Amino acid sequence: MLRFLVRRMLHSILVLLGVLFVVHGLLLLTGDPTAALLPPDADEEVRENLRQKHGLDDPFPVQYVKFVGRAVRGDFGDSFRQARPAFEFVSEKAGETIKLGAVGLAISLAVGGPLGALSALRKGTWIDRTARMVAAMGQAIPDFWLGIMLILILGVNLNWLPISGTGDWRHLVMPGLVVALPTLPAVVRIYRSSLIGVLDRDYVRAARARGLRGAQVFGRHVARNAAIPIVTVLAFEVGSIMSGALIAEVIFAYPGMGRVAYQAIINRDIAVVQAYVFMVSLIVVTTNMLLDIAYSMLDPRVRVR
Amino acid sequence: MKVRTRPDSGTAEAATASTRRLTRAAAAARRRTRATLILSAGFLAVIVLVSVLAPWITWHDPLDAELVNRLQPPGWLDGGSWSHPLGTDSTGRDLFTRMLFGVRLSLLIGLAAVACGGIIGVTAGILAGYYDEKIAAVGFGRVADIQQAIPFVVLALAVVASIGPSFRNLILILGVGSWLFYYRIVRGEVLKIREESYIDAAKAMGKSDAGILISHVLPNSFAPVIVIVTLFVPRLIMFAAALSFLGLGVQPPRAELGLMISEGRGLIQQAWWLTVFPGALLAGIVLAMNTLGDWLRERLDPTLRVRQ
Repeated sequence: MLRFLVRRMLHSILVLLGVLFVVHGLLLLTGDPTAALLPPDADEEVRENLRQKHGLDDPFPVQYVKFVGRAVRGDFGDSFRQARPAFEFVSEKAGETIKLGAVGLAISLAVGGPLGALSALRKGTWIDRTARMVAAMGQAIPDFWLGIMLILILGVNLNWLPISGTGDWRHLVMPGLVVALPTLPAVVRIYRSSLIGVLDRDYVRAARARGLRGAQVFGRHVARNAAIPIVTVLAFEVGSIMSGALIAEVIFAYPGMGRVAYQAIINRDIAVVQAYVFMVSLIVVTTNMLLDIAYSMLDPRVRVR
Repeated sequence: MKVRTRPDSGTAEAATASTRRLTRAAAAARRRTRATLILSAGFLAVIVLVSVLAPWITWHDPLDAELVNRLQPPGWLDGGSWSHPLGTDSTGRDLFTRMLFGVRLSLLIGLAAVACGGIIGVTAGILAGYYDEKIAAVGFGRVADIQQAIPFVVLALAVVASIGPSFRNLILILGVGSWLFYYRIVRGEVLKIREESYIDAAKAMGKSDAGILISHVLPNSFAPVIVIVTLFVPRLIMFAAALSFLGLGVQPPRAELGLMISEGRGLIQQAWWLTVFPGALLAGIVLAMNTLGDWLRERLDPTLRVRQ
């Protein structure tokens, strides 16, 4: 187990180093990093200072090592718009984004789980067909469009929910639904097919034969065993949840780090974008690692790999 | 000793009755599947035809602003006119025409992006699969790991931040963002193919590696690629629309569904048709493509089949 943990962590660190490589590459792709990192009216002396400080005249490997050295200390340079460290600016908004992502995830599990279960238990009936249609629709409806439709119906016409900003739980409902949308079909489909597989198993038949009633069999033997594949799917979905959070934050003016990065693009404030990309990758890599560890506890066979 | 006895399976007659019931249910399910497929295929056929023939179908120009007729509602509503069947936008451009041209552009983007990602992914997959455990395989694998840590929309945002939004960049982003799916499938396929005896035979005949890759490995690894293409065209169309919606993809004044939704967003209270119609059309196209793609996948590749 310990060996597995260490190997898994080393892998995560390696991936993050690669992400930093991409993040630094982004700066070089702009052509002139000093133009990207400084306001357009900065004079030559300031530019020269920045070149010196970031070692922009060094060969690439040296630059990269220096960049990593600064990045691990959370130094991605200053946001010239905010006149303060970019990473600090992004990380103080990260909590809001994580909250939004968690709400979206919770919605997709709370809706997708029961839908998948109903669909599997009533296979071939209209309930099954409806659940699968919901999954297909969830895959086809663009999340950004859903956001606007929610604003139109729930926000403007019915006036039930606030259409932007933060405050109490009501501000989280519509953005949460937008974040949940792409993950929901995956949860429904995986849980359905996994349940159908488990319902066929001998131990389920044995439990039935022992005279346990349907609900007892389902609760004790089926539901939890069939839930394991959802953990695997979630590992893939963390990224799409982060993408969804970015879109929801932009639509609902939700003050998370995605909106900060989005505004930074308009202002050409690339240090903030760099810090944002790293922060998102950090969240994705960390949650993937935790999910892997959780998975290895649920199913010891995977540790061997 | 009978362990499992169902009340209705005791007698032969009951058994046949239940079998008959099952067959009837299966037949009904098949009919429904066929109906859905025909509906999806028909809808897509119309979409493709209409987008190819767009300039000849409509009597307006997608970029032609008629400020006099701005924000006209659809034809069947008060104040609408049938000259603009789905209404007009804030500069008086015809919504129906813009949707036609938007779909045309979306299909083009989907195909171009799949081609771009497919070329990178298939090449990488073949190299990594054939030279397994060499630098190529390890390198591509690491790149794929890293890319998975950066969510797609986030990567797109970052790339646009550094090289700016444009049509060419959009295709590149979509292609680079999706190559690893082709890579994974093709690599797995090539790992199997290179153990085949016809590869050994080709080697024994003195064929070069490049020759073997092009004339034996590539054609034999192509079937699964077709499956991913059908899955990815709708997905990439949707991503392209999302990026255009965020202002990171197709730029105004061009007509693209995502961009149109974003332009209608601020006018949602006065002119709902500007967002409702393009979004519904996009959802319909993606739904039809997914339905056909799922069916094709089940037909072509039983190993990918989701248990029914």
